[in-house]
Amino acid sequence: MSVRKKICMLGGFAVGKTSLVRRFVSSIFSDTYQTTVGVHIEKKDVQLGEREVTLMLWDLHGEDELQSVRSSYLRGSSGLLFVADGTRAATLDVVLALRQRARDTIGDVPAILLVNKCDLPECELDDERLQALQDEGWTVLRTSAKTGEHVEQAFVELTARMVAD
Amino acid sequence: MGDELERLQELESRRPTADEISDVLPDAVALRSQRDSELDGALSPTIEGSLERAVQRNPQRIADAIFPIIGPAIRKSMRAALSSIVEGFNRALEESFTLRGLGWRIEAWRSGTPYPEVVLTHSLVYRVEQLFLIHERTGVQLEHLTAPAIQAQDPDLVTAMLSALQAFMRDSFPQEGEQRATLNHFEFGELRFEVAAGPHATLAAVVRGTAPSAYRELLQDTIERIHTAVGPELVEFDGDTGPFLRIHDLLEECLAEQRVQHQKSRFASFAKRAVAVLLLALLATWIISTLWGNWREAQADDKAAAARLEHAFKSVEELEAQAAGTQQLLARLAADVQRLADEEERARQERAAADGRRQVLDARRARLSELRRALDAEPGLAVTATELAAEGAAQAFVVAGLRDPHARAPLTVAAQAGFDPNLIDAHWTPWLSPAPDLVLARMREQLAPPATVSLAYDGERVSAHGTAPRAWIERAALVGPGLAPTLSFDTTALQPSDPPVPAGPLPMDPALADYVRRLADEPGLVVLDYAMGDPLPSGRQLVLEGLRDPDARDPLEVARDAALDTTRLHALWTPYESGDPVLLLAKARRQLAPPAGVVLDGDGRRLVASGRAPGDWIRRARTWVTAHAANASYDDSAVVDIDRQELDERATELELLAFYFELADHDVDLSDTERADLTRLLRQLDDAARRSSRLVRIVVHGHIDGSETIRGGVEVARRRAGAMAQELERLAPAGAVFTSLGVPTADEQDGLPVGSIHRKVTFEVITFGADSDPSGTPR
Repeated sequence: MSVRKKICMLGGFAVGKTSLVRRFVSSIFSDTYQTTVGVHIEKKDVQLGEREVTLMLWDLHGEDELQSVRSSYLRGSSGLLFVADGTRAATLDVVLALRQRARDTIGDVPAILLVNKCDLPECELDDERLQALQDEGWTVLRTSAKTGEHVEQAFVELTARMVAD
Repeated sequence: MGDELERLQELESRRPTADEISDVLPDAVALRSQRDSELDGALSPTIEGSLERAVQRNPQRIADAIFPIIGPAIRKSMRAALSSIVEGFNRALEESFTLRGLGWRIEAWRSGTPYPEVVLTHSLVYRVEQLFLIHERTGVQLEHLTAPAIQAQDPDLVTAMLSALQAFMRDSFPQEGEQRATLNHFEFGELRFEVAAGPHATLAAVVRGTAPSAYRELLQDTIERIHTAVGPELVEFDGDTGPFLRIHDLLEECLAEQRVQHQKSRFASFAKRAVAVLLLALLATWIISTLWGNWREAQADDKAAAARLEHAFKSVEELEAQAAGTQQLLARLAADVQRLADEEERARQERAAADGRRQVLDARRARLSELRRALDAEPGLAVTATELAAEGAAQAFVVAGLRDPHARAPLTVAAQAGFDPNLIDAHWTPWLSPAPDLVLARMREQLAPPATVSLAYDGERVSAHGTAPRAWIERAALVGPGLAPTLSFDTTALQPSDPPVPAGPLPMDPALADYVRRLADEPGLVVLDYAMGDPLPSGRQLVLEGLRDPDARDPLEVARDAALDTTRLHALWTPYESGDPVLLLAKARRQLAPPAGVVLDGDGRRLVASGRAPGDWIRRARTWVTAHAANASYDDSAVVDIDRQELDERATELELLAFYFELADHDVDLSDTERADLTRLLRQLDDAARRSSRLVRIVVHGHIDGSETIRGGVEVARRRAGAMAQELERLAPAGAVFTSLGVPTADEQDGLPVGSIHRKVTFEVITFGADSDPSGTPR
């Protein structure tokens, strides 16, 4: 049985979304799509027990004062992958704002928050802050763009929750 | 107060300075333009006037300024016009004399549509290469179909991107009152994307060429039918594409293709196209020169205007010059094409004639085999050799074989099988067939049994029953066995009908009786009759008549063994071919004349050959054994076929060769040495194949390297193989080489190594048995 799911990856400007997933996904498009059309589309196959799920990963252009995420790209998403930069606490606020925007557009769908660059000493998001998020119902995974730690896990986790839905 | 009033009046009456106006002018112009378009009207005459003056003063500057726009624009519009004319012209030329062309003319006349338009409508050539069914909400691909041999990029990603583009367009160009505006079609190079959108799914087709409007209707109709068929599934879609498999057939219908209906020979259509292009070039030249002439005439008074525009229209002149050059080139090309087409036609006729000769020959061979089978099936006849008579001979078929005197006449047998006896040149050697019916007939004739004796065959032996005079029984016992080769003859059941004669007037000479008995035991000698009479004047007294195989012992030797005085003997021997197995080896050695390298051994039941022999001899020996010793086994496994060996060696030599090509190129460029080597090798291969009665097929394998998979791929491999195959057919003796092409399939292109040594053709030689093994086995 072939299952295809659309997921969107969202996060503030320069939080390292693209470099975080690049080695785990395949794409035939050049990076210029993201700066022109605002989205870069990639593909990821996830094996979940007997089932194989193809994730169509829409990597949306970073949110900042110049460019805002196009809500129309969020339509039809089965899951969301948020990315924040651990060394810039402000990016977590962007994630929270994006989460609200997504909720307004497509309602509640499974989501995972990846906190990037937590291996660096200048990480501003301490355990306490992340614990608070988890208490609010977020699934939080710390990761590193250098090692790609937890990224694969994030895909599997998100897929499992989308399929269970 | 008076001062201030005066200053105020002065200020009111003062005209603003140029300096002051220049400060506010840009803003003022911008403001007014926003408010209304009065300024456009007010400025128009001024701008026109200044443009005109600028052109008069320095036309080059204006011409330079608009050149980048006007050049490409003219070229583009001319190219578009020319290409559509070429297309229509070709089509019209191809169709004008066909039944279909006539039908189109009638349609044009009936509908009042110009004929070229009707031709174009019917000749749209397009192909739908890919079809995407996209879920509207998620942008996920539900189905993806490709036309055969089309390699698609990851369709999942392409689907998602198409969907993103739709969203992007909707966001960027919102339409008043139109929530679900869609990107209906867009073009990319030769490809056109046709999109039919429904509320929950979108169907996108990638079309190469120009699809008729009916195709867009088909897409729209299909997306509607899809919504009817799987509407609920589309609404509730959660990623599982399984339910959409059942609309696969609906989609298949959209994978349409419209080709030119009939393919002419490449040369013919090329020639036709070249002629069409030539005519067209002439037409274009005429049109351009007429237009140019008219234009010049009309503009003659206004030389200034002509000068201004002359530069801009320079590209038209260039086109004119190009057309003239092209015309010359095409004239040469047309001559070349005609020459090539003539050569091709001549070669085709030669091939057809060779094919015709081969077919006639094959038919005659088949008839000869039929004749042989018919004669062999007749008891008492054994064919030992057949061949087709030389062309021009009175008879068509030459047959040699053995014939029992009691067999039916061979020509009668042939006539019954549908052969004209006058066409058969037959050579028969007398023979005593072991066939029981014939043995019985022979015995009845030679032994002339009295009416009281019956002869019977019981599957093993011939036995005589009844009563007969003692003299007859005695003679039958002596002569009978010789008449029944390979069968035994039993006289023990016979009862004498007369009392024993104590002593006759001419008692049987014991020496003669012994001699007759010895002869009956001797293989290859058959006594038909004997008698003892009064001594003749020559002193001969014993008269004997019989048959003698050339390989049997000399009867005189037997007489000496029997201590018979041969001077008393008068014997008449008729030559015949005995089927006695004891003589098999001697007979085989004499008749087959084994070549120097072959040793023939064995006994009455078995023949063994070993050594090295030509294929022809090996086949002749097998045929001979079948005809002469059907019951004997023949083992020639130790005989090496030197022709076959030669064939294998030459085939291997060819298979070790490879010829290399430039990148993406398929020209076969052989050096003189290579050509000579190849010619020699093909001749040797052909000779060896002919001698060993094998058919040879050479498979030419075209190869490409990894870098060529995107430079033509399989097509390049096919062209290479094709070019090499043509070369082989040119170099080989006429009608000797049959080639077929081996090229990689699309799947085999993955992971090909890169490098010039992989851009090549190689050969594979397959040989087939001509008669014995028509199914063909790889060498």
